[in-house]
Amino acid sequence: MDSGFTPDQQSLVDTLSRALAKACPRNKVRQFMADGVELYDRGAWRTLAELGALGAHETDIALLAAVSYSVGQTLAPVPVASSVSMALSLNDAQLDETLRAHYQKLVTGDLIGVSFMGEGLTLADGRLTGTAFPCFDALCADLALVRAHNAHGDCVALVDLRQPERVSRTPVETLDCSKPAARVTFIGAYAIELQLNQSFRDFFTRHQSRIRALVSFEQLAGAEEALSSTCTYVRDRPAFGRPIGSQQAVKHQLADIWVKIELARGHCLYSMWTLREATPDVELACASASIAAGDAFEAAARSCVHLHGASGFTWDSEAHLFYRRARALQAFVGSRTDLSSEVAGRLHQGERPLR
Amino acid sequence: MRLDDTPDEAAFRAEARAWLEGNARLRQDGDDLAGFRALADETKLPIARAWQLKKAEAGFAALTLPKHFGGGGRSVTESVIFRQEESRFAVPWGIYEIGLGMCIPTIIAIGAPSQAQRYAPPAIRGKEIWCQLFSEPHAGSDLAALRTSARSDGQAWRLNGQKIWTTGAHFSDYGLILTRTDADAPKHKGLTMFILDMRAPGVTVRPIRQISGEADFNEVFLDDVRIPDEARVTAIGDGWKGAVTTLMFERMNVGADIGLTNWSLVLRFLRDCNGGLDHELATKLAEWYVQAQGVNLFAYRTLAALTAHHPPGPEQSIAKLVMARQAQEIAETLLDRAGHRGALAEDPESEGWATLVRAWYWGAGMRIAGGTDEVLRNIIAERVLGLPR
Repeated sequence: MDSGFTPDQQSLVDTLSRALAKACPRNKVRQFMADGVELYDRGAWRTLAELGALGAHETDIALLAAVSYSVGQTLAPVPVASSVSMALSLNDAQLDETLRAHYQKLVTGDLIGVSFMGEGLTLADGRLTGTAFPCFDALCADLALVRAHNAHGDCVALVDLRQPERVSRTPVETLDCSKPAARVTFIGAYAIELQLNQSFRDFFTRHQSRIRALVSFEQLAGAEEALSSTCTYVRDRPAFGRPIGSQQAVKHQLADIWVKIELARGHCLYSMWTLREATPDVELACASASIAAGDAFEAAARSCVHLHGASGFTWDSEAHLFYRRARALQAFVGSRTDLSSEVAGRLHQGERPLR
Repeated sequence: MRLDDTPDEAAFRAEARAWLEGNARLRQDGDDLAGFRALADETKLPIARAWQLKKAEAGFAALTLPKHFGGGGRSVTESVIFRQEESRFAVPWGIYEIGLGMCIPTIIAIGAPSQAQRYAPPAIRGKEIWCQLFSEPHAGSDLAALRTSARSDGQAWRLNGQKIWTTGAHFSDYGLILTRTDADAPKHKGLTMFILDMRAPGVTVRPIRQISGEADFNEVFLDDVRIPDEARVTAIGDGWKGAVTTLMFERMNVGADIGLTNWSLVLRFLRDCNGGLDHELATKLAEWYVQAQGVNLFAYRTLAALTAHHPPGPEQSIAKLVMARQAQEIAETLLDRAGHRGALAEDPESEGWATLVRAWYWGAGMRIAGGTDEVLRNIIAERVLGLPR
């Protein structure tokens, strides 16, 4: 069974993964993820920018699946999910010259974008007030797309985070240091309310679906890497006169992980198809992909630590890198339990997949 | 993964849909389709036979088998399209799947042309029903340990032994039987496959009652049964390869419903009862949906692989492994939700109750049949993940 990628996607995956692994090999990844040396790997980010990966959706949204997959496969410590999803959603609004200039810089990677769609911010007379917490990747970001409450209800605003007097970003320690978070406080920061082509609710739902679909590819790739790492280990590690991988308890645990991964793969591919074709079941598809891929990654990461025995519990092992990244990606997307409630609710209301 | 029909496929789908609409009834929510299997033979066999003949005459039977045998002569994709369309209708099932899905394709692939010529056409038209005689009391998961012997008497073969769990043997005309022809060879190398006439002297079929109350499968005793050499399907000693071929055809039933139920039953159940969608049930419903839809989407990928002529592999174990346990779990959950009523065998007030009880029985059964959960996991671990045996 193949990966399900088209030749174009697979070609992009191969190119990007090679380049990312070179820019930031696994040992270096640990420094970002666990030691927290820096917020993100600038070399890896430039690599992606130079290869046009950050604007891949300008050719075909499905290429973004390949970009996310490569980032997930190499565990590259870069804020791709935040920045790309933010740029895509910004592009949904009506852009004047200023906004279009910002957008172009996001696509080239010269600027990094994040978004915050939680409650707590208000916009009045072009000034943003309130606290966004937790705001992922905000520490290294330049621009933020935020939800804010104004006189008419909910709106979307673009705020430049580089306003030192008006925007304070306080770091918060995270389980995966390469997915840093901050408490961002806006004190009358200058912000532009976006003119949307749709209701706030529709904009928000679409933004959420994109994040879910993109991140699901990072989660899928991460799960595969974790499983592969575990299989390599158990194939050779001897105990009781034979490799531990020959024990059924070990085999069955890993077979179950493989099943989760393969089920998730179909969901991930399908979610991208629904986004590209703008089918009516896009929200159901993206939420389902998120559940499947998130579950697969956390399960694979758990097994990876566990089946490496005590060495899986060491800082030097790579097992905890998967464990951390799986948790970080899930939290970035949101609670899997909430996702399940949403999917159940949609089914209960009569939504059905198109395929 | 291709999710759209080509223009030719779309045309075929429209043709199939139109024919089905004119010749069958659409499924309703309350239909207990799995219950068809529980009907008495004298009721279900004529219905199944009539439907099979109808399809054969319209060119919709055995879609991947050659036209000159009466099959559709179509692609794997088209056969899947037809199955997708047919699944929307209340039609008989459970009679011809073994013969047309496994036995006849095996004979066509590796048997003599004269055997294909004799047996394929009447099977496709529904005139003859087949069973698969592989498992034995001492050889279930470890099939290669089978003992039923076939000894040459110079002119023909003499079969002695016992098969068990043979689905449909009680109404079958023929069977594909795996025997041991060389007791001294290593266990996988001394086997040979034959065609068995189920009415031959010395063949005794004894139905076995299942926990569900049906007697779908059987013991088949072979007491010095004479089989001509013309009935031999494989070369002597090549029976294991034949068995693997049969299993490969079993796997090619891409997206085949195992005949139980899934998350849509939960939604129907919620409509009927007053509990509503609480948090715990919502979480489970989402999990079942994500699994079932995952299996469905996996089938689309398999289809793409088969169309590109990659043979079906051990990955196909995934569908039954996921869906059988899910069916059992759905039944357990919903029966538990019913509180004290969860021990009733029938509930006249609930449309879905019979389906639920059937899933409670057959979920258990399907986790065992066609490769147990454990064997399927071993296959995935060893042949997909490359873990040591």
